[in-house]
This record gives sequence, C-alpha cells and structure tokens, in this order.
Amino acid sequence: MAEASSSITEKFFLTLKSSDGDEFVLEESIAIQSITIKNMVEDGCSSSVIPLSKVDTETLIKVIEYMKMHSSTSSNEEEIENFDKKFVSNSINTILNILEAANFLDINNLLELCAEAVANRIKNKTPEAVRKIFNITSDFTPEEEAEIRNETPWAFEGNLDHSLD
Amino acid sequence: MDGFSSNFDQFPEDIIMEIFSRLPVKSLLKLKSVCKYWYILIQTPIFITKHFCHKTNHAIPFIHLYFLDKKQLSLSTNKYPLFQDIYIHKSTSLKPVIGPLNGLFFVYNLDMNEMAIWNPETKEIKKIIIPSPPFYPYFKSYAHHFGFGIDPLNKDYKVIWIRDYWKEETFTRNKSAVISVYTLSTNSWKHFEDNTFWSSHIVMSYFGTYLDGFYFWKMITSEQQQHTQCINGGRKCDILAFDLTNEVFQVIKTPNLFNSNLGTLGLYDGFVSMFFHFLVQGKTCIEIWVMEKFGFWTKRLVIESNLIVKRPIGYGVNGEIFVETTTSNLAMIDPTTQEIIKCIGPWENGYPLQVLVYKKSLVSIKKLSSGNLGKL
Repeated sequence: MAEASSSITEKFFLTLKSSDGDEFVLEESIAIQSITIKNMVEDGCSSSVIPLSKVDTETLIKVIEYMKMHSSTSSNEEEIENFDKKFVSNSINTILNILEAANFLDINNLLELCAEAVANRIKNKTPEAVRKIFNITSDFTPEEEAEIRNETPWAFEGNLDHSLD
Repeated sequence: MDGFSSNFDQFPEDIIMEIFSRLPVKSLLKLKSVCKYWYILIQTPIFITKHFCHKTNHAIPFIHLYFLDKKQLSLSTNKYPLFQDIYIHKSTSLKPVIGPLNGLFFVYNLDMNEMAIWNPETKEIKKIIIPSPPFYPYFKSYAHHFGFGIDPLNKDYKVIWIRDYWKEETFTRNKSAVISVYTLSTNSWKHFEDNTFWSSHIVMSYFGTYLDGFYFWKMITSEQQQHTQCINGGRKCDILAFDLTNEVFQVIKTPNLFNSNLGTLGLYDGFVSMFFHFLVQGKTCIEIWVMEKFGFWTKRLVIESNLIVKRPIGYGVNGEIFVETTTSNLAMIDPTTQEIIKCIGPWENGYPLQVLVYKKSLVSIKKLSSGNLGKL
C-alpha cells in the first residue's frame, strides 16, 4: 500500500455483499467514498467480503452507480450534474431506500442529494399522501388532528399535491 | 420494487431531520399533523435550530412598505424579478418593526395600545400586555423608544421601552428616563429609572441595531449636559448601548467629526455602523463607518453616486445598500461595483420604510414565553 511507484498504479478491489446475498466487486478507491467502508478498510477488514446487511441489492446497485460516477476522473461536471438529475427522478420510495443506505454507509454527498430530492417531492404534499409514502399510521384522534390543522389553517391552503410519488 | 417497506419506527431520526431541515416552514406546519412523533420532532428546539441554520434557509430581504391608504394593502406586489425570494410586509403604520431575531420581530402601535412579538412565517402573534405607568401616575409619557434583543446568558428575548415623563400642569419633566424591560420567558415587565440620559435624546432608527447582547441607539446630547467642545452647534452624537444581560446602559463616544445632524445607526458587515450621505456638487456621497470595538470607529466604505438619496432604508443580505430616492423608488446600490439598481416603486400613497435581512424560522413564541427557551 505504501509503495511510492506511481507509474504502475496497482488497483485494489473490495467485495460488497448486499442483504440479499449478492456480491459486488468494486475498486477500493471508489468504495471509500463511503466513510463506513473507508473505516473498515483502515481497520483491515477489506481482505474478506464486506457484508452490508442493511442495504438490499437494488439499492446497492444504485449506490454503486452513484459512487462510480462521482469518483470517475473522466466524468466532467456537466455529466455529473445530468447524472444527479436523472438519479433523483427515481421513485420517491427508491430514493428513501438510497437515503437510508447513504446514511448507513456515510456518503455525505449522496445523503444530501437524496434528502434534497425527498424534500422537494413532499414539499406540497398532503399529510395523507406523506403518511402513505412513509408508511405511517396516524396516531392522532380525528379531534386532535383537526385541532393541529386549526393552529395554522392557512398552511393547508393552496395547491396541495395528493400524489404518492 | 414494492417501495419503501421499512417500519417507520426504524427510520433513523437523522434522516428525517435531514429531509425536514430542507423544507419550508409552511410544509412543516402541514407535516405536524402526520403523526405524534413528527408533531413533537418538528417543535423540538434542536430541530428548530437545525432548520433555521440550515444552508438552504437563505437570508432574504424583508421589505417594509408603508401605505397611507388601507385599501392599498391588498394590492398585489408579487412581481420582483430581482429577488429570488423576498418578504414584503405592508402596513399603514409609520412605526418600524424591530428585529428580526431568529425570525421574530417586535411590533408596536401605541395609538392602538398594542405591542406584540411576531413570527411572520408561522403568522404567530403574541400580544404583550402594556403595563400602566410605573412611577408617575400624574405624568404623561412621551419620546417613546424601543429595542428588542436577546440576553445571551439566559437565552431570553427582551423588549426595552424607554420614555420620558412630563407633568403637563407644571411643564416639568422628571429627572430621568424611565426604562421598562419585558422578558418573554416570564411574560413580565420590570421598571427602573436612569438619570444619565433622556429618551428625547434618542434618534429613532429604522435599521435593526441589536448585536451580541446589546441594543444600540443613536443619541444627541447638547453641550450643557456634556460640557464638550462646541461642535455642531454644541450638539454631540453618542451611542447609547443597553446590555441585555445585566440590564444597564452605557454611553459610547463617536469621533468628533461625526455631524450629529446626520448619520443613521445600523449594523453593517457584523458591526455597529453609521451611514452618512451628503450632496457634493450634485453627487451623493455615501460614507459608512463601523465600530470595530466599543468607541473605535473606522471608515469602511465611500461611495459616490448620481442617485439622489432621500434617506437610507437598510442593508441587504450581501451588504447592498437600500435607499429611498427622491421619487420614492426603492433603489439598491451594490457597494463593490457601485452599480445602482432600481428595485421597486414608485407607489401611489406609499413608500418603503425598512429593508431588513430576514431568515424564516419555525420558532414558537408561545413555547418561548412558557419558559421553554431551547437553543435559539
């Protein structure tokens, strides 16, 4: 690792294992955008397979796609910008899964990108639509809910978005 | 593919906070009704602070427009392409709104016997009960001046009310200024006198002048009281500062060359500042001085402009200077390029009163006044 020769750049590879059991081989320099993985590598856990029990295959594919684009020296700013734009057009549920993975893997840029995307998508949504998206059951009585709405009735005026995506 | 399947209880709070801190106040007020957990989370002082300080919560210009006619308040004034986001406050009161502090303003209208603390973004208004005259029941109060600040030690919001008292029958005024301090957390007033100045010495400013635990006013004193050299016809300009923690006043000197008849006190670039403007051969010359330490002033900025300035209105987010022109337009001067941009106006029966730098906040005045101070 400490060799100074730069003419022959030796590439190190890591194997990431999703919660579904699928394995993905990834260049170390790309994977260490995740601080969680970086810490594992520094602690000497990189020789074996790195299990990511909280990330399913579908989500891991997306995360790797993101990390590849954001580490590649060949992709320019415009490419990255276009990639990010397309990336956040995934369904809101996919983005929430990626967001959770980004939080676990500690990839700050990805976390910010997805948090921003979710915020934009739920900004104008009704509480009912947000409940469905986040899979939440209201624990308010109808009276309690009406009371909260009455605190700021104007917040419920205007163009409300009922869609679930 | 079948969506976000995690049980919500397992969804990390950090992530919820990351999403929520990027949402506008209006969205959050709506999301409070989703479930009890969100209702509580959105109102925690930690979240309110995170949301207020978040990099996506940009500082915006708060523009206070005055109209003579109530009918004009309802007219649409939404088209200001110059600003991405802006808060327009229209009123028929010539009194300034004082603030903002963490998104809160102090507002008053003594003709209506009204005082309140106001959060424009949540539209919350907390009326303050006005105390009866504390010391001189037979006197009439005049020369009212206000301040609004935070006591940084106790993290408490305070309103300072300074007035003089006059006995009409004998044409005598009491020997000292009467100070009333309102503390939000206890929702109570306390009163005391200070015989080092009179309220009538204070010059009202439409700029916000709270900084780091002190509220500042410009004060003009005459030679008889100060025994200073005869400058400006024996009138001298000082700065009166109120320490919000210890609740005491101090007087800060200004350079002798400050003309007491000119100069508007404000905050510029994080310092207490004085704005001077005067005409030199048909051109307006603007000077901004800043007080780097108590009593130490330096000239920060000199601008020459063809614009005829009627009066300064305030400073913008990036140090822009807002002025009212003689034609009642609101104009903005960029200090780096000296470029002048006409912003808004003119209006019929109205003109701009104040431009303040404002950040939207979820802060609940009700919570603060019940002693729940939190971190803001």
